This record gives sequence, structure tokens and C-alpha cells, in this order.
Amino acid sequence: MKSARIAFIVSECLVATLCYCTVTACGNEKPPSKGGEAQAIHSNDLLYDVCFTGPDRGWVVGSGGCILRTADGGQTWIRTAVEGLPALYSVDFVSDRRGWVSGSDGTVLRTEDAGATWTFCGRPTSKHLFATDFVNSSTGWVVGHDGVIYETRDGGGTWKDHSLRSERDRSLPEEVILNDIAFLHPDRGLIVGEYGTILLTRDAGRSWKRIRSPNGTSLFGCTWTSGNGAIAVGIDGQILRSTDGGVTWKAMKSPTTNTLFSVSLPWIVGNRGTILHTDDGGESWRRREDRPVNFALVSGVSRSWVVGSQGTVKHLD
Amino acid sequence: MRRRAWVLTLLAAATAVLAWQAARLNIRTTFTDLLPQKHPYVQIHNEFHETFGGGNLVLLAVERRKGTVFEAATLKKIEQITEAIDRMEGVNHYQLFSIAHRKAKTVEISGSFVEQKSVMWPKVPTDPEAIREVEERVGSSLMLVGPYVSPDHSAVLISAQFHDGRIDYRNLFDEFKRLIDTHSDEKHAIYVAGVPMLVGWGYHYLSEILWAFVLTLSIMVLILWSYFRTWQGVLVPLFSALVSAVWGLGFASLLGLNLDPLILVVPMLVSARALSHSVQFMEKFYETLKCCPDKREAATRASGTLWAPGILGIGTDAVGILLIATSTIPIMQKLAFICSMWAASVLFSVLVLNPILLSVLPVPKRAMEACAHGVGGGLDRLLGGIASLVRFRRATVGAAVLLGATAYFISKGLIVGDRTVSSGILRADSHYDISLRKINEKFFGASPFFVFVRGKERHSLTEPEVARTVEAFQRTMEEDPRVKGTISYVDLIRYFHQVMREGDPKWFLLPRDKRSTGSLLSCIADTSQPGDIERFLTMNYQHAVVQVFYEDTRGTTVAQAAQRAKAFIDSHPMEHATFELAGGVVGLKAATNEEVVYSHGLTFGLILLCILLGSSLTFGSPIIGLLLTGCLAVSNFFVYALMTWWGVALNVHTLPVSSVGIGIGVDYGFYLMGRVREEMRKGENLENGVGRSIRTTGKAIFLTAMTLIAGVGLWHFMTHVQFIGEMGLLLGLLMLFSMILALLVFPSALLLLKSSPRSASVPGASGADRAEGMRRAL
Repeated sequence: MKSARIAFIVSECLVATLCYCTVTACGNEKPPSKGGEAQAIHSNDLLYDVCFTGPDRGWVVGSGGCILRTADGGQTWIRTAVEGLPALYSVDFVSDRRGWVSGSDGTVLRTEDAGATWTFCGRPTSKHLFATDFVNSSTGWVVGHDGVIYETRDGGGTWKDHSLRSERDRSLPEEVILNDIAFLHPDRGLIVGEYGTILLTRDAGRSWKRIRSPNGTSLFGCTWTSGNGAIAVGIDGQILRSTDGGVTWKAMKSPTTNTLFSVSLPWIVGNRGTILHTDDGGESWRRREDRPVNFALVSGVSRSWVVGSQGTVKHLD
Repeated sequence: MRRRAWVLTLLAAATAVLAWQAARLNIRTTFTDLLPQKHPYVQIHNEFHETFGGGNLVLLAVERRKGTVFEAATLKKIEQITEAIDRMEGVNHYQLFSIAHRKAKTVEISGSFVEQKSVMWPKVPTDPEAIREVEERVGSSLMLVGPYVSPDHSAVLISAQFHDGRIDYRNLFDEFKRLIDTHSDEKHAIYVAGVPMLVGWGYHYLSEILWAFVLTLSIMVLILWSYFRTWQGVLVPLFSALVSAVWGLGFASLLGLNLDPLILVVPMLVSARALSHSVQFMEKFYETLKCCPDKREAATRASGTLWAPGILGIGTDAVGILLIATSTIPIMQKLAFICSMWAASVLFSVLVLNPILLSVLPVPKRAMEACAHGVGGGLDRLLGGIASLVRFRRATVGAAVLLGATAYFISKGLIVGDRTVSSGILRADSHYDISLRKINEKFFGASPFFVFVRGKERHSLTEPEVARTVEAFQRTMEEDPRVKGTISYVDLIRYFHQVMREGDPKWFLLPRDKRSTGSLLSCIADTSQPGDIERFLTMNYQHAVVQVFYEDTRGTTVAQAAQRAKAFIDSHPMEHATFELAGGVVGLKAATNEEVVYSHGLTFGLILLCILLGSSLTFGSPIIGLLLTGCLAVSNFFVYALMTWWGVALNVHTLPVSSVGIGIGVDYGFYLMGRVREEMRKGENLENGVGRSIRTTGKAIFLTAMTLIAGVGLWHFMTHVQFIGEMGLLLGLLMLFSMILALLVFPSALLLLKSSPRSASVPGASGADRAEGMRRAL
């Protein structure tokens, strides 16, 4: 009991200092399960994002600083919980060992050992970082609240500010939320966000061009498809599609009015257990009627793995 | 004797007055009486329970046996039941919750606007498409799935709060019973739990409890008849027991105490005491009658010899029972007062009334030959066998010590608190207990643990420090696999934060500053209806409740819940608020269990001490005092060991049994010791004296004990009220062990130690002393 309390106090202090001053430290790992007592995934976990690098290795992040990992295709999950860590929104791995997560309050963590231990990266901002995408083992991007866009070229040690600025006062950030970022290759990238915000770069992020969205409603997820195509999804079940490398966008017919949060071919996932499937590379979408995730809010999808509320982690067939 | 008419009139008048009082006695169960009112958890609970509710809560579950509740017929039923409950008397209309109620809403986010929409009010959907839409909306609502709709959608929960003081429990029970009967069919099951319902079941079974009493009484009559073989021998003791019952109940009513039907078994014991005192007196009377045929003279003489020791014995009983009042659990205190008075009333109902009655009533012819050998030779042979067993005293004592020690170590494993999810009052297969288990299994809400947050000033809850600590507290509690979920005002804030951000789950976060937290809270307050958010926090944002939902209320679960919460609270001090334990079923059980452990030790110790002192003084030998007390302690350990073996837990229900049980069990040893002393005064040596005592007094001990054992032990098989059955069984066992120890082990130990009562070696002991010995010898 005593040692547990000391561990508590120590970890509290650690978090207080580490989380807010950019000091590097190791995350402490909890044993996966003690005699069946502690399950890795709790029924009240709210999970935000998933990333699989192959059929076996995958990582999931969620609220309360939750990081889950599997090395056997999801048969067993191991929980790494760093006490006091804030919500983690996005996870991206460039190899089986190297990956990053981003979260609220500007948190970015890095791992070199497939997620067993995590270290704090340099903290680019205090704003929430909703999405991260690394184009190689050193260059990556994070986007988030108040139009923040940051780029690193040293694996997260230092960050360069590309944030959106207000039209009226260029010193102030534009108060638009950026929800997702996806690179087709190191030169071409896409960011989507609030009020139909679509940003496109064709010069490795040196400049970001605003693209007109067809209806101006909020977007939560985007992805590249084959043949220079792109898809973005958002509120009220809207699906936007571009076939010219993201320069022009068209609203597609959607089978749902539920909010859609994430897209990764052949799936789009969203609120109330919504799962949409395409057979033709994204030209048409239909709803999965068999409710594989019940009514959980599904917020992330990667390689047919979906995650969401109520501890939902599931592979779709 | 000469003024017996006056005395009789006086007693009759007093009895009449008390009978009138007794008739007005409140027979009801007050659940607050089961809570240790001085325990800090209970005091905190008392302070907050009006604010956050949770008192008179009824939970009704509608289960669809196959498939989900999202079928037109089931939804219709849910609507009908909800409306029926809404019309019940005393229901708090603001604290009625069901998916068919106007207040069950889901939040619809579309484009730039947010809309709160009732799930299926005012019209229940009938066509499949509309039902599908309702299922989707309900299924995705974190506020509904878990607490009000089971995660597998096979059952829904309707919860209704009733106003304190405006409940007619019988009426309410009838109305819910009608709902159960009307709406149960081959496709649906209805389950109802909650304190008002439990009270209702108590009333429902009251007649059954009374029948159990009638049966017990009949058994006692039968045993008395088999002993005395005269109607007088049956009626006089019964009448005495009745009078003392009237007095006991009358006094209880005068003092404004209510009699809880659940603890009736203990007063029954006291009545049995009155009965056995009366039997003692009649025995003495008949014995005296042999040498003195005038019944008036015989009655005078008999009462002359029994008067002083009678007062002493009855006084000891009364004081011993009064010691139970040291417990802080009200039901124990009431029990102590009522039973202590009841025991004291034996002074009048037996010591005064019996001689008068016997001097007035005609002496039955058979009385003379009846008393000594009423029961056949079987018993004589049994007792003779026991008496001869005493020869193997070393083995007997050795075995007793060994068994006692074993029992003691086994009883170390005795569980405190519930062993399963149960009311602890009704049987495991009762509708109520089945309901309780079902609701526990399907939903969040049946076993809540409330932890209160007391703010230093208004708006303290909006301090980021407080909100974040509450959030961390919830997360810590949720790490326990026995916790199904937690909810607090922090969840409300986070959820509304998410709603404000177009429903994006990434905003299921606490805002960073006090102002945003405050404005979110006011936003919630503005859009909700009375009672919606008062379940979570006070409207001035000062106090809040964190509800942690456990999967059961077992002793270990509740103890660890409190421990876990305490550990967190100690390591997370807050500047603007404090956490305070505890409420909810789990919190209150934690308090009760802690108190049971304390009370148990204290009363047990005090009563043993009282008996040690009493018996040492009475027999003038501390060794005999120790022997008698030791035998008692061992018989208690046997009962605890058996409880451990059977998995019966020590709880607020079983506690009074052992406390009252020992007080009465000690008498068997007293009777025997008294007789031994009397025999020795007649010049017998110790060994013969002991042998004869077992053969003679042993018979009386055996019969009195059997009367009790048969009476209360049978309850176990007779009643749906498990509480009473369990108490009956344990008391019966306690009496059985006490009897065996008194008849076999105590005399063996006595012989082994060769210790004799002082009076045997001191010629011409005082008259009172001798009389005491005779009284004890029955």
C-alpha cells in the first residue's frame, strides 16, 4: 500500500514536471494483466485512433493517456498507461518499432521500441494536437486546435511553425480547428478541419493552399486513394471526393446522416456504430447493416481495424 | 400472599394498560435503524442524501427474454409502466427516469445547431423503421446505455424516486406487484428492487412470520405437555410468557420504539426465558406440594426460596442484554432496550404472578406423579450415557479444547458483510433477490458507491483543480475490474464540451479554465429540467457526488472500495474542496461492516466479562466463572466456524444473535453448577454429585434447550424471510452447542480441576447462597 502511494506521488510529480516542461522521461509500463485481474481494454475506454503497420503489429490511443499495443494481430493487447497523461488523439508508425502519438495540450510522444516505452518529444505548442502524420522516420507533421500546423525534421526534437494566421491580424492564430492530416508522399499533403477547411500542399509543406469545399461544413477525416484521388468525411454523413489530387472537391451521395470521423479505404467510420464500405475504391459507399460494433462511436480506422467508444477495438472482415 | 387479590388487581390493571399500549405498537422496519448512525460515512450520507437522492429509490427492469427490447410490444409496455409509476402516490415526478419518459433525450448535432430530442416521447414508435432509428439513437447514447438500457439491449431500467414521508409502503408494494403481474408474460420478465419494495415484501411476509410464531408456540406447548402432562403445567408458563410479552411490548410502545418484525426472533428468546423461569417455579411448587399439601402454603414457600435468586438471575439477564446497547447500530440499541425490559418483566410475570396463580388454581391430580418422570426412559438413558461419559474427562476436555481451538482458527476466516448480491433479508430465490441480481448484472446502477465532493465555497466545483482531481479519481476507481463505470458532473461537462464542438469525441475533455467550465455548467443547467443535474451537483456548484458503480456488494468489494477511495484521497489533497466518504449501497455497507466488526468485538467482550463476574460471584469461585465463560466462548466459536464453513457472513443481521444468544446459553451451565453445589451440600462427593446433577438437572436443561432449538431452528425451513430463518438456525445451533458443553464438557472440566464451589467446603453457607443453588438446580 505504502509503496503504491509513493509510486502515486512520484508519478504525480513526474507528470506535473514532465508534461508541462519539455523534459524527456521514460513512461512507466504497467504489467499487461495480473492473474486475469486487470484487462487491457476497459469497457469505458474512449479510443481515438489506431495504426497497424502489418497484419500483426498495431497500436491504439485514447482518452486518459491510454496506449494499447498488439504484436499478434490483436489477439492480446498490452496497455501502457502513463499516469496523468492527457488524452491521446493520433498515432502513426513508420516502421514496426518507430512511432509517434499526439494528444491534448500539445503532447507528442515517441517510441523506438514498438511502443514498450515512450519518451516526450519537444512540445511544439500548448494547443490540442488532433492528428499526426510522419512521411519518413524523421519528417512529420502535427495539426490541431486554433489552426496549428507544425513540422519536424528530426523525429520530434524541434518543430517549425506553419500555423494558419488570422486574415485581419497575422500575428494571431486563426481559430479554426484542424482535424486530420494525410500525406500521399513527402511533397503532397492534405489537411481538413472545421467549416469545410481543406488545405493542400504540393511543395512538401512550404506553402499550404486553401481549397474551397462544396458546402462549408466541418470535416473530420481525410485520406488519399489510388490514382491521385482523395476522400474527406465529416458532419451529417458528408463524403467529399477529389479525383485531381485534391484541387477540386465534390460532395458524394451518402448513405447516412450520422457524423463520420475517419476514413481508410475501404472503410468510413462514424457516430452510432456507422460503418460504410466501398467495393470500387471509393466511388460508391454503402452501409454495413450487421452492426459489427453495435452502436459505439467509431473514431478511428486503419487497415480494417476500427476503434471507438466503450473500449471498441475490432477488425472488420 | 394475603394481599394477593390487591396484587392481582394491580398486575391486571398494569397489564391492561400495557396491553393497550402494546396494541398501538408500531410494527415496521425502519431501514435507517440498520445503519450505524455515528459512523462518519453514515453521517455524511445523512447530510447529502436529501440533496442527491438515493433514498427511496425503486428500480424496475423490463427484460425481453429473446431478442432486444426494441420491439413495438415491448416499447409499449415500457411506456405503460412508466406512466403507471408516474401516477403512483408519493413519486417524485422529477426523479422518474425511463427511456419512455420525456426526460430521456439524445443530443442531435446537425450542421451548426444542436438539438435535444426525447427518445420516444410523446409517442412510442410502432413501425420498424422508426423503431430502428430509436434503437440507434438510444444505443449510441453513453448516458442511456449502461444505466438505463443494458449493453445487449435486452432490458431497460426504470428508476423512480419516492418522497420521504409520503410513501405508503403497502400500497406501493401492491401497485408494483400489480405491474409485475400485468406485464410479465412468456416474452417479458419484470424485475423490481429497491428499499421501498423490500419493505413491501417484509409486510407481505408478516403473516407468514406470525404463523411461524404460532408454530413455535405449539411446539413449546407440546414439549411442556410432554413434561408436565397437565393443562396447568402448560397454561401457567404460557400465560406468564404472554404477560411478560405484553409488558415488554407495552414498554417499548411507551418509549416510542418500533418493533421490527425482522428481529422478532430475539424477543422470542426472551419469552422462552420467561417460560423456563416459570417452569422452574412450577417444578419447585410441585416438589414443595409433596411435603406440604396446602397449595397456598406451598406457593408461599416455593416463592420464598426462589425470590432472591430469581431477582439476581433475571437482573443479570436484563443487564446482560442491556449491554448490547453499546453498539452504535440503532436496531441493536432498540433491541437491547426492548429485550432488557422484556427480561425484567419476568420479575412480575413469574415471581409475583405465578405463586398467586398457583395458589388460586386447583391442583391437578396428575401433577404429583407427573413432574419427575414425564418423559420416557429414552432421555434418562441418554443422560445416563452422558453422565458416564464424564469418566473420560481428560479425553472430553482435551477434545473440547482441541475442537474449540480448531473452531477458533476456522472462524478467523469468517466473512464480514454480504457474501453474494442479495438483500440479506429474503431468500436467494425470492423475486426480490432475483430482481436485485438481474439488475446488478444488466445495468450499472444497483450497487453504487457515492463519494461526495464538498466545495469550500460556491462555484468551487468549477475550479480546474477540483474538476481534474475528480476526473483522476474516477479514472483510478475505474481501474478496479469490479467497477462497471463511474459518473459525476465532470462527465456532464465533458459531454457538453463535446456537444458544443459538433459532437467530436476528441472534445470529451475538461476545459482548461474556470470560466469555460462555469459557462458549460450554466449551459447544462439552462437546458436541463429540475432534478436532472441535481443528481450530480448542487445548483450553486459547491457540492457534488461521484457515483462509482460496483458489480456487487460483497464484503470484500465494499471494504476495498472504501480503501481504494481513501488511498486516492490521501494522496490528492485539493485546495478548493475535499472528498468525503461515503454513500450509496456500497458506502453504507462499508460503514455497517466496519461497525459490525467493532460492535461484535465490544459486545461479545463485555457480555463475557459480565458473565464471568456474575458467575464468579454467584459461585464464589473465579475458576468456575472461567470454566462457564470458557464453555460459552467455545460454543460461540463453534457457531462461527460453522458460519465460515457454510459461507454465512457475520453482518448486522447475525450480530444480535450471538450477543443475545450467549446471555441465554450461559444458563445451562448455571443450572448444572447450582445442582452440583446442592448435591455436595447433601454430602455427596464431587464425582457422584456431578453424575446425579447430569441425570436430574440435565433433563430440565435438555428440555428447555430443546424447546428453544426446536422452536427457532424450525424457522429456517418455514419462512421466505431468510433473515429470520438464518437467525433461527444460528440461535438453535448456539443453544445446542451451549447445551452440549454444559452437560458434557463443563462437568468434565470441573472434575478434572477438582475445583469445588466454595460453599461445599464452607459449612453453613448463607441462606441466599443456598437458595440460589436450588434455583439454579431447577
